[in-house]
Amino acid sequence: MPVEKTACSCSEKLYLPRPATIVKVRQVTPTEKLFELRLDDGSDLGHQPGQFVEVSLFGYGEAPISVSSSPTRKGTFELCVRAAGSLTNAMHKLPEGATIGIRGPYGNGFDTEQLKGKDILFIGGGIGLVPLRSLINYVLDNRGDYGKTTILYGTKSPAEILFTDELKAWEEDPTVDFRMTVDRGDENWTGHIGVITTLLEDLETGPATTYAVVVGPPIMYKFVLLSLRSQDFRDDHVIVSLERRMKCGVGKCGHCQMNSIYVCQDGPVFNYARIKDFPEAF
Amino acid sequence: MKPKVAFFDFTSCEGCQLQKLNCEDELVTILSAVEVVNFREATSVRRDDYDIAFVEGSISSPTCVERIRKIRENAKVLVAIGACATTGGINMLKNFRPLEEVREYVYGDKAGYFDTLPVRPVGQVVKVDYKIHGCPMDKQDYIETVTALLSGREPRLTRYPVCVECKTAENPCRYDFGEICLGPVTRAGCGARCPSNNAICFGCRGLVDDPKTDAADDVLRERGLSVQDILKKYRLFCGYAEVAQ
Amino acid sequence: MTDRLLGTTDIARHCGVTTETVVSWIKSGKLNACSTPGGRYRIAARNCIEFLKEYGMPVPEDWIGDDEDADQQTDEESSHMNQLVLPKTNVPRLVDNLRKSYRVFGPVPRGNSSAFVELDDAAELQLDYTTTILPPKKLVLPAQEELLEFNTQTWQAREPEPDTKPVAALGVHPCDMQGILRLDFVFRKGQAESNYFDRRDRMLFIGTSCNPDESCFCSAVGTNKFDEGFDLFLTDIGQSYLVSILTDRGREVLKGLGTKAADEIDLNEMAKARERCSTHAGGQMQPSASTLPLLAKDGEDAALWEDIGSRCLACGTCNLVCPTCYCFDVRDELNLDLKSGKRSRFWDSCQLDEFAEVAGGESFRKERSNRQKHRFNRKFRYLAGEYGAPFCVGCGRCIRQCVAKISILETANDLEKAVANL
Repeated sequence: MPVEKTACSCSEKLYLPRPATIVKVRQVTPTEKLFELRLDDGSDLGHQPGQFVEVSLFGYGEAPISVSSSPTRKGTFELCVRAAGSLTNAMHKLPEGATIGIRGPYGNGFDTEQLKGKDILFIGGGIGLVPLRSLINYVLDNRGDYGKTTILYGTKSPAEILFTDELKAWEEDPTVDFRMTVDRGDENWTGHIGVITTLLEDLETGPATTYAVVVGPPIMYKFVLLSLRSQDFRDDHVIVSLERRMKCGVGKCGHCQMNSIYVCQDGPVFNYARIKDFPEAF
Repeated sequence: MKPKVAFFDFTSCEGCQLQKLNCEDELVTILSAVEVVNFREATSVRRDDYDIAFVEGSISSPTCVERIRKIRENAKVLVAIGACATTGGINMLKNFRPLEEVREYVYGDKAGYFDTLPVRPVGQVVKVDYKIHGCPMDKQDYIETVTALLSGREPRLTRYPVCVECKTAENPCRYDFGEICLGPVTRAGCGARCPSNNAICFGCRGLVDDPKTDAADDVLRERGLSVQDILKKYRLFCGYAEVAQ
Repeated sequence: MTDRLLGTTDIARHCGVTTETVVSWIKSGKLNACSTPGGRYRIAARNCIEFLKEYGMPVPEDWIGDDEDADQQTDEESSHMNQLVLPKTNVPRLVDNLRKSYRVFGPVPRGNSSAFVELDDAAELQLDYTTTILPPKKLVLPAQEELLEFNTQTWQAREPEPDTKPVAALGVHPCDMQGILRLDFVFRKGQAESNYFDRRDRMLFIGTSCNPDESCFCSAVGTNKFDEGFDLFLTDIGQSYLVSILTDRGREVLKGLGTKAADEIDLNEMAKARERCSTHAGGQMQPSASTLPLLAKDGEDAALWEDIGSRCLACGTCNLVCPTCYCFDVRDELNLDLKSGKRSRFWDSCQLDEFAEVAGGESFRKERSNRQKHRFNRKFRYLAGEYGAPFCVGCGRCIRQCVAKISILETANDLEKAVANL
């Protein structure tokens, strides 16, 4: 006789998204929009800096998107989305008040406890600033818990610079050493020109007390990691966040597997010492 | 406002247009969502103010070239439908023989009245926005493209080879019967229709973006097949591809 | 004593409480329970009776009844009761019995192989088969499975109702059963997935002894196990099957089938038949399964991967036919009304070009050699470590069905040589 369906210790409805409303949309660059969202059930997202959500648009599917706001800023959360595929293009067309689906937050996020009392060197390349911003604002909102804060930010061109208002605030913040660069300037650009490692060369860091948190495209990791090593950073003082294809976010679909680990479960944030020998990491 | 839609045919058997009329269950829904302004096989209306042009057939004569250029000028979106339009299809076989010989064979002593050109898929003459592959095109593919265009998203184009759908359908492999099947290098989306009916895949949907022809040729040679055998298979539907030339 | 198992709803109903309350009794240690592969609680009747007596609650008679019946049997008798002989001519009656409570799937001939299909007629069944094109994995993890139905206008989404009638898989080989046990592990790990276990927990598995061909290698990976995961196991002993009863659900479907208790000779025949199942005439795996994880690691830079990569068609067959591959893609389909639609998952393959691509087109596993290496590592190293046994079950399907004739067995053997020469 078939066994009757009984109370299951399975987490039910792994794939059912929660509705969330777009409270505010802001075009931040020609290709990126910042969406402020609120979950319709009124609950907080309850994320850690560095975690991601699966954004659901019925008819288009789902895409993993890093949460860009700090959990210290309650009520709503922010996703900064580049129009890169079918779903993200459709999302860009949504007006304020529209509903989207959210699953998550997923992944491990940055270990804010481990970083307490440490000097932090943030290195963000391109849209790598999106997950990094979550942690930067978390640190700034808990200023007393963390040491010296340095932020290095680089983009290919001035048109791609994200969160310009916030960058200004970081620049003016006396407790923050903020520096930025572009690979190629334009006629209006008066700032630093060069790849992000050129900013690193000018910096005086104390590798013994500093953690470097690096988020950017694969090619950036290659050079930044070399540069940090030449400045005597220990591998376990370097923290990275990796991008992968993630269909489910809950360690089932297999797409994000990187050697023996699932980026959506064990990551996306990794201590560099743990993954440096993984051929598939960068 | 409903998008205005037109259908045109070039060198082809017009079977793909029939497929559209074969979407019996969905036809009413489609027709209620669009306004058909030009469809020789189905209506007598002939207008040129269309948003979306669905084009069947390949380009094989100077008049074809002129006509397709006009259509491209009028259409906001041009969709190539069926193998003749997307890859050149079977018509492409013509290009593997001297043009004059083919012309005389077809038109006999009247050959002088008919200008002819080497066959090209539509995309080699004008810009094609989307392709619906297959000989004939697949109904589901067509509905997917229409749905996508109506909802303003990119139609989904299958990127994996036919083997994926063939295995999922749990078909025995044609190679196990000593046959040459183009499934491993052909773009899926047809639900492996031919192997599911005990035939080989003829490659009518064209090659996948990055066909592993090095491996495929090895496979065929290992089974004692000559380069000519392989080329013949490729040329039937994939004459456009470098590998067939 | 009886091994009858009760569900939390049985107990909740009897005690007049919610299933959540029963779960809380279990969690606080008041009520002893075990769990199914799907993580559902099951409580042995005798534990439940103890619990009820301790708290002064009445004990239902049918629970006690089972208990006393069981007590009357001696150990020897009950062991004999678990090994019965079923004449082959009575198999159609077994199918009919099963069909009362289950949708029954079994192997039927297809092309030069076989396939599990739903049996409308027991005459189609061919229990004496070599292998199927797809493993019975497809019954627990279908090639396409609907996850959600949605409406874009009202923003309503719901999961589809699971099939009410459970599935019985008849004629499952040990390697394929081991494959399903590995899938259980994957879908239980981290957050258990109800989509999978809703179906899986209600399934009945009836195994059969097999006819290994030259691509089989179950004994090399230790998957020739006849008593794990099955409800019943049928060993071919000539004119009859020796039926080993492994669960009560299995015992239930044998009622009225004209079985008799097995004698010494039958049991002897069973042992011999099972030995034949584990003996492989074909390819042998040179390295032992336990050395494979290290071999896979040490062989990461071996030249053979380039060669395998250049032969690979990247067609995905090896993954699709594998009993332990579970990767899936998720796609939405919007209906022509542009409002309603569904979200489904589809089997996917790490050998396909787009598998490891992210938005923008960057692929994290571009080379075919690296994809093949990934597959090998997934079977023998990555998950194997956590599971404690290889994730390759030795069924040989990827070898048989690879158009390019890439053999995981040869790869393992070549890798051993390559690493020895490093």
